Amino acid sequence: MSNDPPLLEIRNLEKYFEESSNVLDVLMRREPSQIQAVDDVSLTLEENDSAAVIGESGCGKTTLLLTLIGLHDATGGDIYYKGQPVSEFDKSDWREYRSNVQVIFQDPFNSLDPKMTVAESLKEPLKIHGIGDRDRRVREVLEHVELSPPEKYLGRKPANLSGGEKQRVSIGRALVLEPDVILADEPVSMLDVSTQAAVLNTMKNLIDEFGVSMLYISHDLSTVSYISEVVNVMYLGRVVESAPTEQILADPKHPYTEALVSAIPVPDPHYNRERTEMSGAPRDPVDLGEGCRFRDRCPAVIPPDDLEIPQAAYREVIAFRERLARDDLTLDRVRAELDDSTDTDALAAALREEYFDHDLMGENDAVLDTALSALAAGDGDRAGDLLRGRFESVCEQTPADVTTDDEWTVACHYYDDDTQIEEKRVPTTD
Amino acid sequence: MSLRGRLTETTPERVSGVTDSYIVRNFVGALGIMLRDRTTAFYFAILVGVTLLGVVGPMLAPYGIQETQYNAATGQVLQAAGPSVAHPLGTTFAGYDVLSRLLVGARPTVITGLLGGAMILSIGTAVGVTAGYVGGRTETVLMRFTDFVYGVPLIPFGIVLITFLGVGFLSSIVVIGLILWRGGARVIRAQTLQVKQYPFVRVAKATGASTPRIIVKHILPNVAPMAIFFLSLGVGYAIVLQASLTFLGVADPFTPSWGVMIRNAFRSGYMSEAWWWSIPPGFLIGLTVLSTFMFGRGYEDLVNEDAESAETEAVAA
Ligand code: SF4
Repeated sequence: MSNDPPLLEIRNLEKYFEESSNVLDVLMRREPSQIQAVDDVSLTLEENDSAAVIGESGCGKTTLLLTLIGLHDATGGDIYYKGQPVSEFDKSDWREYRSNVQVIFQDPFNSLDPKMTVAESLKEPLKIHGIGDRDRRVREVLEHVELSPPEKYLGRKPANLSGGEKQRVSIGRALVLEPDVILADEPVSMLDVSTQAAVLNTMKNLIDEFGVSMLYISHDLSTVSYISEVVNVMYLGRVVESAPTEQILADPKHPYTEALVSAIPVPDPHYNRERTEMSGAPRDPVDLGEGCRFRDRCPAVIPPDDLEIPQAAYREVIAFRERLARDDLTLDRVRAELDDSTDTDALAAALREEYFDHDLMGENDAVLDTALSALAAGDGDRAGDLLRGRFESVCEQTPADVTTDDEWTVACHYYDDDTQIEEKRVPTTD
Repeated sequence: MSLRGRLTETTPERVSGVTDSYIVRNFVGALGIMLRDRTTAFYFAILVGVTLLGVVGPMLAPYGIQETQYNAATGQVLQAAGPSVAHPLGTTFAGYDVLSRLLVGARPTVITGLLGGAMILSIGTAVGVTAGYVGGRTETVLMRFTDFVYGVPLIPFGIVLITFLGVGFLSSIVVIGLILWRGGARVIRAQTLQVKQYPFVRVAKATGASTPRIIVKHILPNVAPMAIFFLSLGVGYAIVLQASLTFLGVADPFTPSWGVMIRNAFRSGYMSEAWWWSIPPGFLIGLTVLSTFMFGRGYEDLVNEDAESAETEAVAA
């Protein structure tokens, strides 16, 4: 049994989009920007397994899903279904795959065709795959998703179902072909909280009962423990940490996971959990280049060994350098607010005011000053070089995946050296 | 079991099979919603009336349309005579009975509307749905072509086309259909693009539904309200355009449509004096076209209905 290939395996999957170039780009011979929606993602789903992919919106989880159901072609890497690569599928393989891998989408309001009755929606997959005995199957599946008696629902249109009922029908539609794998994209996030729990429980029971495997995709760590045994945390197209659900919730390793976990609401108001702060939103996944993708928001960016600097101040420098490199500074606005817009010293001071709350000491302070003056004088490149020379972090190199025996993988420079994931890193947050 | 027994047994099922059919059911449902609005129902009734007139009108006509009417007393031809008991709408310059011509003229007008509307609808929907759903190069080619047809000036191009196809009643309808589909194509493409994005289409694709299946089962029913709207607009436009072409003399003058009546009245030089000759066909054309537009407007109710039910859903959820 253990020699069988896994049910569904994703190996180094990549999906890039090219940002549509306009006439100007073509004239200027600019390279089209690349959107790295999914970048080198690997996952495995065994039989009767349930894994989750967690991440904020825009982290590429939906692109991953659409690639998995064959609505996008992968740019690189491959998906293996029972050991067979999807890229080599012929027509009948696709047919089999499409009947064995089913999907549930987030939005219950548009997941069902408003013009079809429940019975028609549920029969459609059976018709597509030429499976008979449809009436009986449809009734059975309705009972399974706890819409009974079926007669009450068969003739209804989506307009006459509540959100929860609709999502149950969607689940039923995914189950009616008795698939091996269900891919669920935030199946409950648009339902209200009381309905969420009920629908999640139904799903949980069904995966056990039908023996299907599920890939559960969500932005919400708090619902994951209902469904999944393993969690993969995704950030800007990459999986940054994956581990068994219980462990990851109890003891997140990656700073991003830590921030997500600490954002889960705690029911007990007296329990004061330490919150990890994480500012802003992820940037656009355009032309991301080298380095840890979380570094502009990471509360624990690693300064060079020989640099004496408080974490908070260091994060400001890193964030500033990121914006400088991306040409994302509000130079013009700051300049416009000056009395004399040609006064470069005043501009440097104003920039410091704008982007730095913490004071720096000694040499650090001097380097920053020189860099800001260079920037104010219009030499952004030199400013960038100066700052890199002093403040460059290991986090600007892409961290490798570090795995321990108990299937805990994390990609963060904190865990580089001795692969001692178990040894929790020293909290450096302020 | 005898053949007869089998027939009687299957018939009710067949009938309910038809009414249950996906498309018929949705069409009837949509019509039901639209007719709930009094104004829409009123214009719908007028359209039904005009259509009926097209069917039975020629049978009701008291005289033949090319039957010259004489004054019973003097034996003179009734040239452009005013309304009387024998000829409630008077006669034409050639001494024909106006009421009879009006009744007979309903049929070509209705045929123009239905045929023209159907052509506009089918070409517009085919182009719009194909472009919207298939996308890529097909879309670019189809939409460039639509833009091109948009640039074509209506009446001059109609005249040119008719000279190619030959002046005739049917060819004028074909020309109308070949030009007027353009508006429908654009809007239906936009709708298709929207419907295509919905998760239910993605789910169908992921389950392995073929493109024709998705178009027939999911896209068409969901763009149907818009298509009905364009059908009714198309009917109106087709009638108006045909009347204009007729008036300009590039449609068959021997098919006695209402447009031909106005044209004959104008040509005779008696248009202003013999008002009974030109006003009734003009009025009927106007009323028919107005009704198609107003009926098409009822489409808004349909859209609102959808939005409303979506709202109540959101509350219920
Ligand atoms: S690699 Fe550096 S920036 Fe990235 S998460 Fe780890 S500490 Fe933070």
